[in-house]
Amino acid sequence: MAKLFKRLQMGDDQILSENGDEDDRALYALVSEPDNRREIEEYFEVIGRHMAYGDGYVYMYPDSDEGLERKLAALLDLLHLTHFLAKHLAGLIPGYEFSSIDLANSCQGDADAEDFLNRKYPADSLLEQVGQVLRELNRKGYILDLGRDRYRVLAAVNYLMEFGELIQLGDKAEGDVE
Amino acid sequence: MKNSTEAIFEPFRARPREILMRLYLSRDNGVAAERFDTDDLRPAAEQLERIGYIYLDSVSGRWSLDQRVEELFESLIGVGAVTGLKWVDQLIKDVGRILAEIPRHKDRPETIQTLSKRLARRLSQGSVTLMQSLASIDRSATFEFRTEPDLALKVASLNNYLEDCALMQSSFREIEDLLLHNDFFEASVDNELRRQRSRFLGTISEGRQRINVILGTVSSYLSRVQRGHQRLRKLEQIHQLLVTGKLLERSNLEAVAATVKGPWLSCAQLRSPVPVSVLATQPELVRKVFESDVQHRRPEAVKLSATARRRETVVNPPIDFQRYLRLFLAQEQDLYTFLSQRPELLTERVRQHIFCRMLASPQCSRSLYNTGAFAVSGRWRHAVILPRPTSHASIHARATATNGQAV
Repeated sequence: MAKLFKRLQMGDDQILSENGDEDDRALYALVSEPDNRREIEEYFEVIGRHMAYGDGYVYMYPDSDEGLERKLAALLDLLHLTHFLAKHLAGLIPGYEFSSIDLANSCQGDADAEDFLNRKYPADSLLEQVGQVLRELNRKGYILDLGRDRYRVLAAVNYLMEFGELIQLGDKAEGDVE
Repeated sequence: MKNSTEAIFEPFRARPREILMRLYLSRDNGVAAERFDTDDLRPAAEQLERIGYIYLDSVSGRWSLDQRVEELFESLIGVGAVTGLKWVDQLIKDVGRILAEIPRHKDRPETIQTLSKRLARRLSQGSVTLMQSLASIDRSATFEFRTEPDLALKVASLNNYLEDCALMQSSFREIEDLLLHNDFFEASVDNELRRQRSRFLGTISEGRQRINVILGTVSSYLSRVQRGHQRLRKLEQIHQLLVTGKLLERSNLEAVAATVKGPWLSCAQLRSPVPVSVLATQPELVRKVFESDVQHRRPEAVKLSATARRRETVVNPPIDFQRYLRLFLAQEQDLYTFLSQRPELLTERVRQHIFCRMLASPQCSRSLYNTGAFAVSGRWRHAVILPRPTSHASIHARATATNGQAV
């Protein structure tokens, strides 16, 4: 329990993916085991934390929420990021492997991508900007640094991609998202 | 003096490709057994090292191969998968031709014997190569799924692998039919031929199972890629509205924001330095720290029940944090153990209260941090609190120096 809590709550990387590094895979297997789920959920409820199980990922969330305004701002930020990543990382499908050069090549000449990078990751060159993006994604647990400029997209990105599925478009789109 | 044509072709004539192949073939877990210490080979190896295909492990003195080398050869094998299909097709034709030839030579036992041997040899080769072909289809499909950056190409390619599998299944049926329903095999007295036929039929049976697994894998890849493709299209629509500032009015974004949970959308960051060992044994205690933590950060967000408030009042003794901090820093136990050993703290509840207040108090936390009693490493914001056993005097001095702001 302590290990799980430490992994999911202490630091920036708060999503556990089924295809992460060796430690994460082992922890994910333990957490996603149906027999263990109830015990884990009951344990963390005591301290006001709840488990959320997604498509190949797990995270923990607290009772307390940010205000709606801050959540909306955060969600808009995440949508910008998700669109950028999905467009330039082959649809952001878990398991996809790439290098920083692949990402930079894909962004080069794309006005949307350059605008996004200039706003969020100002730097002198495209490669530096891409480096910043990759470091942040790695820190947040969306990709795994395999070493020697190779990266793997982790199942945690499904958390991002699912926002797109929840959003209904239309002039008067309203209502339930559950 | 080299002429220009020689200069152009020099890199292709050089050793790197040959060396790479030798390293690849001698590898075990990505580390090659081959060494290239001789002067004429070393430059070529260094050339491969410069482009990042191999690197020298200074401890073992052996070359390790970059993942790209594996992928390079896997892709070459992938090309082999297609030829593997052609090969199976060729095998069927060969077996059919030999079987068709046999009746014409029924009066020539020596020729029949030669043909039997040729057939046995062909089936023997088939048993080995068939499984290799299937393995290479599996590897190539996985490689394509993992590395092809273009979604449309990826879908097309995975569809091709599905078709390859279907063709392979059909080839299996065809050759099985030839081997099972030809009287020649039943009548043959050539033991080697009978053995190879039976082995090959076994390989086909194994191959069928393998191909079903591959079909499952490739289908799963394909459905994931197709789903990714659909999601991307939806994201493109969302993005259009996002950049024109119309997303809020033309979607249910607000309702989504109100319900979604998860990292970056809630107060999920834990800032209290709770020792993990304590969490494992005393969740109730940790909850108390959270409450205090939230109270310090966002007082308006905390709604303690009347009972809880009363309890706070009851267990709230005057605490000389400075004294506890000083004593804590002068010993080597973690904070909770230290408090548990204080004789004046009579009840568990009082000890827990002081523990929680000390950890949740920003001033006290800062002071602990300044004295080096917090370990901060990697992605941990705060780790287990253990005072450093060395130089108590200097820690004491630092604690005293931060006295004004800490307590």
